[in-house]
Amino acid sequence: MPLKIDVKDLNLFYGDKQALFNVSLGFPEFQTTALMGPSGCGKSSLLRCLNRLNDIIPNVHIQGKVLLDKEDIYAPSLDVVELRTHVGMVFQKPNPFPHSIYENVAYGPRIHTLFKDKTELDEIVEKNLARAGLWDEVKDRLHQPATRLSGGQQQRLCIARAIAVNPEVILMDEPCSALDPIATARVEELIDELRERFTIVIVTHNLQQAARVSQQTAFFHSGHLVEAGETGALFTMPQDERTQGYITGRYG
Amino acid sequence: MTSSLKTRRRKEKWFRRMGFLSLCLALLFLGGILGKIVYTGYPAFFRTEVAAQAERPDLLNVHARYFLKENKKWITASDDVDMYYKHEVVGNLTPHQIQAIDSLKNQGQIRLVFNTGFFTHSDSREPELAGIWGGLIGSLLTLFVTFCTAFPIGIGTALYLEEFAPKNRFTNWVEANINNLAAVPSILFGLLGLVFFIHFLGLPRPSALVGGLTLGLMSLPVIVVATRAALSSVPPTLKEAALGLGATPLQVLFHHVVPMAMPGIMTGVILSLARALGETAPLLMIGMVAFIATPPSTFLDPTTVLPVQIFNWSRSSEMGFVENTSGAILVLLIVLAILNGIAIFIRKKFES
Amino acid sequence: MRSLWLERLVRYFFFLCALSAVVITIGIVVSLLGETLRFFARVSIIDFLFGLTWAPQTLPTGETSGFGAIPLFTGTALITLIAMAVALPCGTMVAIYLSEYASQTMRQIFKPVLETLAGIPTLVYGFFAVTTLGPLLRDTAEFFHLSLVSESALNAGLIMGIMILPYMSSLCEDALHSLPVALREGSMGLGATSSETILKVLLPAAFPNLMAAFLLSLSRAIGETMIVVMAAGLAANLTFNPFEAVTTVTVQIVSLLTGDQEFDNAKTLAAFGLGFVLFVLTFVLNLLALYGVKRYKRIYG
Repeated sequence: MPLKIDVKDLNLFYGDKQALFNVSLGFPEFQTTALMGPSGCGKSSLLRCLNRLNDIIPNVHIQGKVLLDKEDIYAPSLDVVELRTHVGMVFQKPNPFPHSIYENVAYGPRIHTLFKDKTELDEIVEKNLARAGLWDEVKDRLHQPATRLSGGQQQRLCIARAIAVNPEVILMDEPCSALDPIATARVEELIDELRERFTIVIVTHNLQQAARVSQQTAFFHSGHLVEAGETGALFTMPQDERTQGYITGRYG
Repeated sequence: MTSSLKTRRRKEKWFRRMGFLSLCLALLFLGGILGKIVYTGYPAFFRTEVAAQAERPDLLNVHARYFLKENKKWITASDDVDMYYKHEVVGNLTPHQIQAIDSLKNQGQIRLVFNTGFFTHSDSREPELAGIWGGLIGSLLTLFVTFCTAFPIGIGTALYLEEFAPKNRFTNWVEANINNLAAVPSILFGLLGLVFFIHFLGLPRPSALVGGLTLGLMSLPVIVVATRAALSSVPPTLKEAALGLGATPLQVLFHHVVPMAMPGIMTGVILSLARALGETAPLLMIGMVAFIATPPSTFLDPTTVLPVQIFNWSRSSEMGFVENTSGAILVLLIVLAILNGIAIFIRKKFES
Repeated sequence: MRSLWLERLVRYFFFLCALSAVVITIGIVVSLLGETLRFFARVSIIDFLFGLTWAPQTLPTGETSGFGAIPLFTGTALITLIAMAVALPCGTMVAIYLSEYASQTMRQIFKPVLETLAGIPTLVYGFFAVTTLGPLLRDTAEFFHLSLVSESALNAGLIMGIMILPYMSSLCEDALHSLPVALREGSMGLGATSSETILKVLLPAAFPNLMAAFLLSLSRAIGETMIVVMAAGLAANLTFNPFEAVTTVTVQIVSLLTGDQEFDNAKTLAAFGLGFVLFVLTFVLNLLALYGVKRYKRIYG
């Protein structure tokens, strides 16, 4: 499987504090990679490096390379805004815009002018809501405020919104941690379906979830990548004792 | 054990009572002041008129005859008569005149009407003819200039400080200065206006332009502070969502942050305009003390504003002007109450 | 594609706006400073700051006399003191009551009411002082065979206190309300009454912000103009007797500048000298309020 994203010797600094130490990790295309580890281990920091959302934090800088399709996304000539049309993100707490359901999904296509006329936009909205498994539930109330949806529906809306700009990679930062078990199950189903078209990177605290949805898992500890590999193998036969400690629940 | 509990309970009751009493006292003071103003002020909305009988209506022209009701025309009475009729104050009236007024009362030849002139006339030396029109127009023009000065610069500054400024010493210094300016006494802005706009730039003295610019400088820091508070209350996760979709920083700002912060910004702007409306001291400094008999027609004409007009009237000892002052204050307070009401309404409506 | 230059332009515009705010501060300081220095070229600064007689005039010889500002400082201090004596206890108690005892509906009604009252133009208070409170005080004093002029410091001070009350109580209420609920719950959980919680836990915890509220109110009282222009006297009088008439710095600034308007006259320049003193004083108070408080918090947690 070719690597969609290849991280090479990444060091991340918040001012003087180093958050990631020499991380090298490949993310195969059309697969889901899970990033795991105890709180503060750097998994979210790595995720946010992949779409350069870390740039908005003052005094942040990196060393090393992050290659998307063999191009370094930290090259000075690279347009960050365009990068984010290739790498989308879904956040921990659902954060729909205070607009209608339709407008939420339409926002991305609007600012990047991905359509020619209204009918095309309508199609885009319907297609992506359907892909997110939300179309049947909201097709009669597209123009109602998105904030009226339940937590699970809002998160699926955020997913629909993210895929509406046709990214190739979807980053997910603990997308189910604010959802109830049933909504979580639906989102996990969705991740499996999305894998056919997108490369997915998911940060999660939930061991069972990682085991369920990912093909590759990477385990982090205090900013270091401890070990990474095929999910099943990592869980049954971890090489490093820190990984084993985390998996068996000794800490984390 | 139990006795100390009793004492503690008693202390608690007394403390609570003191708090409630203070609240009542505060409201009493303020209510007393407002009550007094209303009581002395609302008679200014009425004026006394005396009927002048036409002895030979047949000698008058057609129009006059048409408009005369019962062959008499109502004419505004003098200030002394007005005060006597409303408040039984003798003033400068001779006993003979008082007799005449009383007999007119019995004959129904003297009456009280709503004093539209109070609102439509400009200032006058005669209290019964004086009105607040000049002050109202002046205030309108001045506040317009204030808004045009303070609003764009204030919002721009707040947007810069909140969204774009790097965290360095210059930014900290700018922030410190703005917070400070917001608490500088208003009279000092008047001095600044005097030196800079009048002395240095040579703008015409008591004009709406100079007044508006001076008040604009004064309102600027307040608008910046209020706007920043509104901007920072926008949840960062919303900004991240927009950024994550590939929006540019400006798109994030104008599509999401500013619309969400708008109610807070509007409230801040309205409240600072309300404050500017009531300011007197800085405008005295730039020369708005003079008696202005004609309302301004441009921004450069000599102008007065409502509070300065009130101030001028308050210095007269004629009872008619005391009444006018209270009436004008009443108008000012009503306008301010409306502005504050709008601001509170906006805040409440969007807090949900 | 996206217009990059538009982004840069807009960002630059915002930066200019921020710069203008800085320019204004500099402008105030420079203009006041400029005229103040010209003033001190005519009148010695020692005479000004420490002189005891305020009867400004320029003699035919060109000499200046009577520019001693001490009576103005004492007048300001006296009226401010009376005002704070009213506003501090009353305002704090109102804040405590609204923050800790009043029901939610009461708070929802009275907080906006107080905020609106804080926005009443000071001119209104001044007018009330002249027409109602002044004669009232004078008549009451006569009843007790005391002599009290209608422009007494007591009159101006009381009215100023009433004016500052809503401002002070609003700031104090914010200070108390911003304390973490856990603090209250901790104390009540131990069985303390509300008053004990307030006096022993909340007030000390909110002390830095309460101090800031006090300093800001003080700064407002000192810089207040219209109330004293209407209700206080015009003649400088070095006294601490509240029954007498005194004059303040702000009154003199107004009176010096609304008389003849020759710009080079020592009298007009004196207004700027007074303005500069006022600026420095309120600047220091505001600085203490906003930043001294922050440092206190950082040290004492």
